Amino acid sequence: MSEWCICSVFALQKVSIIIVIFACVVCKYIIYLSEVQLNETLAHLKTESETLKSKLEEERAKLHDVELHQVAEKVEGLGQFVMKTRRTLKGHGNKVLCMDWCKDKRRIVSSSQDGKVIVWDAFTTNKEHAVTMPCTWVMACAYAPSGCAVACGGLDNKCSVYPLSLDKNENLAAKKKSVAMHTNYLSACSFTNSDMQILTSSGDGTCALWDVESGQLLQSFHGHAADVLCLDLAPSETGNTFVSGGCDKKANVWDMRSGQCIQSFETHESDINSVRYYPSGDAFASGSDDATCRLYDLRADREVAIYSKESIIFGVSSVDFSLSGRLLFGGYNDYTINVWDVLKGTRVSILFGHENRVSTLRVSPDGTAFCTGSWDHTLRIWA
Amino acid sequence: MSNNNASNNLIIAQRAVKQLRLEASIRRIKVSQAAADLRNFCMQNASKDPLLMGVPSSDNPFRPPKSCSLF
Repeated sequence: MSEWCICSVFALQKVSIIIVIFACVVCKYIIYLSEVQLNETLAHLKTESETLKSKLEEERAKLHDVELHQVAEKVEGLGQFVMKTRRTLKGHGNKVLCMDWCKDKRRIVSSSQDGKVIVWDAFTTNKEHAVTMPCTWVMACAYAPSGCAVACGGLDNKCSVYPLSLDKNENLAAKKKSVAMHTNYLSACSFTNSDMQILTSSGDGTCALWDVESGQLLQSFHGHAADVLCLDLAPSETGNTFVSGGCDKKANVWDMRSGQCIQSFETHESDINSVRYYPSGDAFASGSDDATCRLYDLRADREVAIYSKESIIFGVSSVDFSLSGRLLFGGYNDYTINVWDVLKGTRVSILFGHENRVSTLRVSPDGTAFCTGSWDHTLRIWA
Repeated sequence: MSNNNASNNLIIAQRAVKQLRLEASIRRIKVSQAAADLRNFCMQNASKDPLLMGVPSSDNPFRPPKSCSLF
């Protein structure tokens, strides 16, 4: 009797072990199947994305029937330009990184590596206000449309707004308001049409729209695969969009209300340091470390011109258009400013003066002059 | 776990495909028309462009006037 019991227990043990092993095998097979399914869907999606990319290229190429400079052949060429430094603004203790004009066409705000943000009167070259930021490398600064405040930020990962008071003795730093918070450096900032909202771009790969009063995030823009280095808002008549450029060599056009990326352009060969809308809002220019400036038309959805020369090998740090859009000014890392004929694609002038790389360039709101900031610690007004 | 990574990649790929579909569907015009519009804009606004046309020294606040006047 007992022998039979022992045998049966033994047999039961063996059977249960076999059942457990079988269950394990089945489980692993089910997991394997779902992984295979996932991988298949992934592969399927990858091929679909490749097909879509080539279809996009095809569609864009179909409409490429002529070059911009061919359309501009009958246009009169531009004569010699005499543009000289008319004012030199000295006072920064280190590299000037960014500047912006006030809408009154006379005041300028500039920021530098030493953490100082200075407001100048460009006509008289007097300094009107000075703020010391708690961080170095203030890479972005912007003037509010009302002229009553400036925004700036950099390695502190924040964008702060300082209201400007008429009382020169007042300590501006006391009224500082922290608006934007990113997880990496702030590369560019710009007020929208009012003093109430600020658009920022950051080394964390995102752009964001903030409410100045509450500091609340209104919209964020994800899509860049690397640091976003620059942004520009569309001229007010053309609606709520802006363009951004980044280290992923892409320039993206965004809808501010939905946060959606509506168009994307990837023809540059290196980081895009600066983007600027054409005055009509139908196109934008970009400047990159690959030593070229390029013009992209938004309605044709493609690059329509490249501004480059074999002799130019240094990267472009900033670009801006003249009032009519006929001239494109580019500040380069070889200390010069190149002036391009936008329609014909040729260079009309090269300007010397700075003693180190040109880091920022903006045309004044009424188009009478443009200002450049440089690593040689100075700003220059050219007219 | 490898499953999590695979599903993350899936989500990223799905987003990329959705974005590409959106971009492929926008309406485009011919480069000739776009270029003509750019050229026309330049021509229409050329006369108002101080940097292009040059402004007499007396009007431009940045250019020094040729002669000093004593009051």
